[in-house]
Order: sequence, then C-alpha cells, then structure tokens
Amino acid sequence: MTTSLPGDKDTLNTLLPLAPSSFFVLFALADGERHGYRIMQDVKVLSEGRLQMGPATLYTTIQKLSSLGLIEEIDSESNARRRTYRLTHDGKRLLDAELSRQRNVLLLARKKKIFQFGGQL
Amino acid sequence: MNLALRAGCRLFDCLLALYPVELRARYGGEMRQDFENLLEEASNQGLIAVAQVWLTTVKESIAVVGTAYSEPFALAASSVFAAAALFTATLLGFCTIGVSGTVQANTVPITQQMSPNAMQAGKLVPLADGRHMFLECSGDPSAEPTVILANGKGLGTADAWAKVQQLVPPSIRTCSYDAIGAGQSDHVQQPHPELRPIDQVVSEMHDLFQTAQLKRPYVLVGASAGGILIRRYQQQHPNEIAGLVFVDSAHEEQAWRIAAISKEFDPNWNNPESLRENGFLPDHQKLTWHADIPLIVLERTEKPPCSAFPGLSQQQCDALNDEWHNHQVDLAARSRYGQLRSVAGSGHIMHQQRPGAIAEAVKDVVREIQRER
Repeated sequence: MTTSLPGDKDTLNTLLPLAPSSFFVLFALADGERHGYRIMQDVKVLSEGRLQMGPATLYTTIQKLSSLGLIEEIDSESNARRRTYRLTHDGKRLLDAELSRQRNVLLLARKKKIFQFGGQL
Repeated sequence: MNLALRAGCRLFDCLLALYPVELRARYGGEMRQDFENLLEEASNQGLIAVAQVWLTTVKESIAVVGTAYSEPFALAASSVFAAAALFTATLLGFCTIGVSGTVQANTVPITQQMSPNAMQAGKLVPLADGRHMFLECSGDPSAEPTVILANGKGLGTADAWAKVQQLVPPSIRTCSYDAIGAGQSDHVQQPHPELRPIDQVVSEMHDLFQTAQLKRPYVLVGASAGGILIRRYQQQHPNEIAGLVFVDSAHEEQAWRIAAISKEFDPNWNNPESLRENGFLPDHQKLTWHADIPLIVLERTEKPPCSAFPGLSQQQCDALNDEWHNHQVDLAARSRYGQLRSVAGSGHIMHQQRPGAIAEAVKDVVREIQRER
C-alpha cells in the first residue's frame, strides 16, 4: 500500500518539520539498513536517552514512513521474523530537507545571538 | 525464558490484540519479538528498567489504541495506572481463548464510570462456614426467576456485570457477586483463587445463593470459564436452575481439542487430575451434559487476530478460531430449546463490549420460563 509521494520538493516540504519519532527513525537509517529493534536502540543513543521508543510507536512510525514511500523493506532470507528497513531516495531527501531546516533555525538563532552552539557565538 | 518474562510477553500479546488491525497484521510478529528483547534486556538491569519498559509500553498503547477504542478508554484519561489496570484486566479476559480458560471478565471498576443512581447497593453475605461473599442485586426483589451473573471461578467481581445489570429491565431480579478471593469477598491465601477446585467454587455459590435467600428458580449467566462453572452447577443442582445463558463460554473439551492444534498454550493439557479439578475433560473425553431448559449461547464475532498468537501458523490460528466456534454450536445443541446468537461487534469481553446483547438474552430466557409456567 505504498502511496509514494510525488518527489518534488514542495510535496516533501509539506512534511516538515518532522515529528521526533519520524525524524529519529529516518536519522537512524541514514547510514545504513537496520531492523526494528536496532532502530529502537539507535534512537535511544542518538537522542541521548530522551526519546524512548517502544514497539508501538516504532512500528506505527515505520508503517507511516513506508506508506509514504520514505523507507522500504529489504527482503531478508536468513531471518524471516525480522524485516530490515532502509531509506528510499525520497526518504534521504526528506531527511536532508529536515536537517537543513534545523540547520537554518540554528543559524538564525546564532545570527540573532540568542543561542550558543559549537562553543562560539 | 523465565516465568516472569513469559508472563510479561503474554500480557503484551494481549495488548497487541487491541492494536489497529493493519498494524498488527503487518508488524505484530516483530513488535512482539522486539518487546521480548526489550523486556529481557531490562530484566538484566533490574526492576526500575523493567518498570520503565512497561510504562513506555502502556503509554504508547494508549496512544495507539486510544483513538480506536475511545469509550473503554474514558478511564485511561484519569491516570496511567488506571489505564494499566484496565489493560491488564481487559486483556486477560480477551486472551482466554486458547489458554486454559480460567480467566474471565474484567476487574475494572466500571462503577467509577457510572452515575451514583445507577449503582446498586451490594452487601456482604456471611456463608455457613464463616466466610463472607459480596453480592449485588438489582430489580424487583419479589420477581422470579432470579438471574445470577457468574464470572469464571477466579478473578471475577460483580463490577464486571454493572453495564448488563443496568440494561436488564427492573422487573427482573438480577444479582452478581464477587467470587471468593476476588473483590470484596473474603480472600484466600492458598491456592490462587483461579486454581481452586471447581466443585468447591460451586458449593460456595450454592451457599451464597441459599444464605442470601435468592428466590428460586435461578437463571445462571456464565462468561468464559463461567460457562463451565454454571453447567457444573446445573448438573449438581438441576432443580434450582430454570435457564442458562452462556457468554462466549469456554468448553469442557477445549483443553485437549486446543492441544491437538498446538501444545503451546497449556503445558498442563494432559494432566487429567488438574483438568478435572478445573472442570475440563481429559484427552478425548466428550462432554455428556445435556439440559432441556431455555438456553441461549452468545458467541463473539470479533476474533482475536493471529498476531495475538505468535508462533502459530495462520492455519493453526484459523483452526483455533474454528474450534471456538464449534464449541459454541455444540453448546447450543445441548438443550432442545437451545439457541445460538452471534453478537456483532463483540469480542470475548461481551459484558463490556455488548452488554445489551446479554441483557436481551436474559430477558428472552426469563420470558420463556415465565411462559412455560
């Protein structure tokens, strides 16, 4: 039931900003494919323990991202009980868009001198 | 896997059964396995970690399930813990299919959701042996027959029937009670209420009805394992019983019939002594019970999803659901007045999900009895 998004930039932008659960699942998959449990563990590490995802949130998110064509399952023959997921082209683009959005917000904050990051104003 | 872990996973399976169908169908197996891993990892880190896993899981489940089942979740808003209790109870009930069938009904204080007027005054009745049982009756005290709502023999309380009692017309006398070991009735140290021999439970019921001077004859209504209980009662005291209603009842033959599909559910399935004590029949023994009295069998139509039984193939899961249906058909044929009704929109916890269907069946059985007299 993949209702793949028309990949133009405007459509992707309507999904921004991403909810924390969507963002971290995409983020966890940014550097390679993973199965669900590994995503859960990575999200915990990536969010420095601030986002604790259980199976319900994780698979609701996976379901949503899959139906939007942002991630996809990889056929795995060895371990049938666990599916492995990876970013699609659109998923990568959306993550990039979200990261640059975040970066722009930070740059703006830096410009306005209301937020210190990277150790320097 | 140790016992606590297994119990935890079973509880999670029950939670899973409430999740939206598409989610469960597609990801049920993975969710279950991931939960198992989470719990296993947490149990190595200690109790706090385990509690954290559960807290996250319950919170998430409320979010996932809440929108789909807004009504039963009215309570959930009050606190996470109320919600946890709701889950646990609802789920245990939901899960009785396939398991030994000794968990019934819901321990949720439904009365919390009701207006004070709707509540009936219950009372503690002293039994001949000095113990006390909690009884709650509604409707015309002089009416006959008396309708008695029975949970299975373990965890049931009168509360579970509150919605049904509200919907039965006031011209009918209807009573529910807390089983020994549950709710406001006296509690027992050993064994666990669920494991008490069925004949002892029947004799306590008999004592209670007699001491409370409930007007005979009785119409017994039994949910889940309560079905087995009220058949046993009828068998032992046939003159007291004028009619029966089975609410998605368990079946005496289910232990061995389910074991024939999968032995995973009940490792004890072939222990004749323990089966008999719990009201079940040993391997390949058939139920001989028959009673030509007004009898209505209410059957659920919402089947538990196969993802609630990880480790079972689709074929086994279908066979399990078919078997449950066959049991209901069989029970309806145990009286020449027997009637089978499929209750739309109801799962196993019919007294919560479709209390109106039970009230309707009660009304019909009572009418039938009154007409015959």
